[in-house]
Amino acid sequence: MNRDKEMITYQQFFFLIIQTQLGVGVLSLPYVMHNSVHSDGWISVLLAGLLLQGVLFVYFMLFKRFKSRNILDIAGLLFGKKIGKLITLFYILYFISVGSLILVLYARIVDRWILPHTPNWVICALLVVAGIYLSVDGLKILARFYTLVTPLVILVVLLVSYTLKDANIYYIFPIGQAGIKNIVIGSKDAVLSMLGFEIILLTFPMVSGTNRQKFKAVSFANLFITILYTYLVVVSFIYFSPEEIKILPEPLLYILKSYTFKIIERTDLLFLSIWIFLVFTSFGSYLFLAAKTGSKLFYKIKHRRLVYYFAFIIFGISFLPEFDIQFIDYMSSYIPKTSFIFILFPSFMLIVSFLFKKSEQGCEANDSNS
Amino acid sequence: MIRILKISIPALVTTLLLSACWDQHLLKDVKLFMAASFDLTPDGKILDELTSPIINKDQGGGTVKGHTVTSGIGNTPREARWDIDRKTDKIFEASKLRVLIIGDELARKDLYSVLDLFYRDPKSSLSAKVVIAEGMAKDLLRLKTEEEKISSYLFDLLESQEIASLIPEENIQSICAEMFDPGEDFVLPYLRAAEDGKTASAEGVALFNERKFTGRVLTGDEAVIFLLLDGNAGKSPKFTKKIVESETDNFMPQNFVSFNVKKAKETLEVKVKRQRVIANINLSLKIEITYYPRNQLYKKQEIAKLNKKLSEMLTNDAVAAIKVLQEANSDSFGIGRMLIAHYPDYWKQVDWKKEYVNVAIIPHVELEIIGHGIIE
Repeated sequence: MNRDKEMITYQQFFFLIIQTQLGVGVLSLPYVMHNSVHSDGWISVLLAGLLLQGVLFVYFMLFKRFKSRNILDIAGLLFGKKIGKLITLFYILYFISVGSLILVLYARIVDRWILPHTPNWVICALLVVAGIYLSVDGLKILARFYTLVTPLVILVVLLVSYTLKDANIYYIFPIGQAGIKNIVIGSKDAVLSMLGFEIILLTFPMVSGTNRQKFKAVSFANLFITILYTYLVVVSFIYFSPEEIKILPEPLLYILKSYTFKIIERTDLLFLSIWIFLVFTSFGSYLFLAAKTGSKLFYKIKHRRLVYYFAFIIFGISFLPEFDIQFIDYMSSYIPKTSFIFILFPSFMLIVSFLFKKSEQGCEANDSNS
Repeated sequence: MIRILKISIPALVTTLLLSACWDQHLLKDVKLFMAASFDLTPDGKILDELTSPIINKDQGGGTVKGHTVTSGIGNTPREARWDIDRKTDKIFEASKLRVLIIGDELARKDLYSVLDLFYRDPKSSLSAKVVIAEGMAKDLLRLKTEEEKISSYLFDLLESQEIASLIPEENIQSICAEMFDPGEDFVLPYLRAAEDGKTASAEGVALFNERKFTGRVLTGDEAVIFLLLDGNAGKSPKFTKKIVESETDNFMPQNFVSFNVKKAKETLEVKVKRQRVIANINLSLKIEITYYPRNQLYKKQEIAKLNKKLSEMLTNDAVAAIKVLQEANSDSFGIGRMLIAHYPDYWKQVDWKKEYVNVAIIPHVELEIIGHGIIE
């Protein structure tokens, strides 16, 4: 494949990251944060952003040592081909399962809020078909589309901000009531809501620009998401009283339900339609990632084909909750937990590369020697 | 051929899927109700009444031709709604609800249990106004008004009185946060149906304690000053005050002054001193005189005198309103919330519902005349 065709600019890289991060979770983020840290949830989100910056720095160090390689190549170099393949397989499974989790959660919310009578498989199928269409043509198309839809985020912020006129700031006081320990533990949940930055691991070498510029783009994306999430959490916390938010699984939707404008009767529907774009972009990213990872393992099959196959698998998984409703809870509790392994694994690799003094040049030298 | 198939098959499939035929809501299949009432029957069941407009189906669009009232009884509001559906040809939908009236007996039990079905249903309209009716709520729905639709009559009545600040502007969603909050109580408008069964009148502010109506209502100037103190007032609150005491009860309009509030700013300060809560509410008002037959407003000292006099009178009204609030045990200023925010330790050890009566709530109204119409 032509390499230039696949390269994106570092500005596009920024949009790629934020659109992958913004997704299904954003609607229920205030609820999740309130469950774990009560009214101090927003501090945990800020803290999570800080922690993530550390993780991102580790990624940056790794990519500095191994220029123009993605995480799977590096794994191959560090641990040898066989283990590298095993790691690749795990990453495929991870991306597929996150993709199906997005799909399942998306279907549940759409089913609950707008289309109660439409069968879930139809709702899923529409997203899968659109996702295939988006991710089949490579990273450049993805990045361009994400840049195009990012202004919608402003609309989301504006819609949510409108509710501030009825908010009561005293609902988040006293600050720090949950205790430092809980705030720190709660930041774990906040990190999970920011998942999606793993896309860096695979796409970092596909971005043009210096390492510095790329890292800047990554950091800005992290800053953007952290501020946006904190804002959304704070707005929901000061709009709903602490006792009320406990029974609202999608506070950001509920917040808009009572507002009626001259032309728009139900603002929540408008919000949902924008939100579908955010879900769609995350889903597209994961489908792309799965296929991209897959092409390392099944190098004989084209990217395009892999997208079809993986989309089909993800679609199949989305049927599981139809048989057992419990499955959705298993998925939403286990998949995010295991994701910690996948986002922290690169730091392990960095340590290994330090210990064995392996870097790109060293490895290549070894390869040519042997 | 294959290329045509490649395009046409997805096109066909998506048009089928995207039309979302499973979830279509055709207006011909449902009946929209614009106003609803809930009452408690003597045997402890819920009586639900709905009114929906009758649409004249003639050429050139439908015109409204009066309205129908349907009623149903059940153990829960939902069951009562099903009872109604059994009696009508179409399914009723709450998505266009504008006014929800709760009978006073039912409101005294538990308001949340009535509203639960509205909070739960994604299609319901949470921006509907909630009001408490004196006596049976259904009497308000069955008024024989001059207007075609009772729902718009009630809605407009509420809206105009919200602007005049006699009643608070609340909807189903806006009271929810306060209903769940231990540190704040909500208030609702209170309506009464006239004896002749033709009109309704807004009476004032119905006070709630947690989820229950306390039975106490602030009326007249007390209601207006309460909403001003709460920072919840409408655009132009109005007062008429008697400024000169007279011996006789004769017609003496020159003893009165009327004014509109142009600008209001209130601050609530809550302090805990020696385990005692002190709440200071400062309210500063900028007013415009709308009626003053003594017309001496060109004199500086007359204005100053009037400022002082009216400030005192309104402070007295505020004291009276606060007394009613405390007797009703309704913390609608959110003093408890301020305690949670600023004195969390105190809040943890206090039994707020018992302590609230002992709180010293001190209002202070400062008034300033800034306008007097086009004559002095």
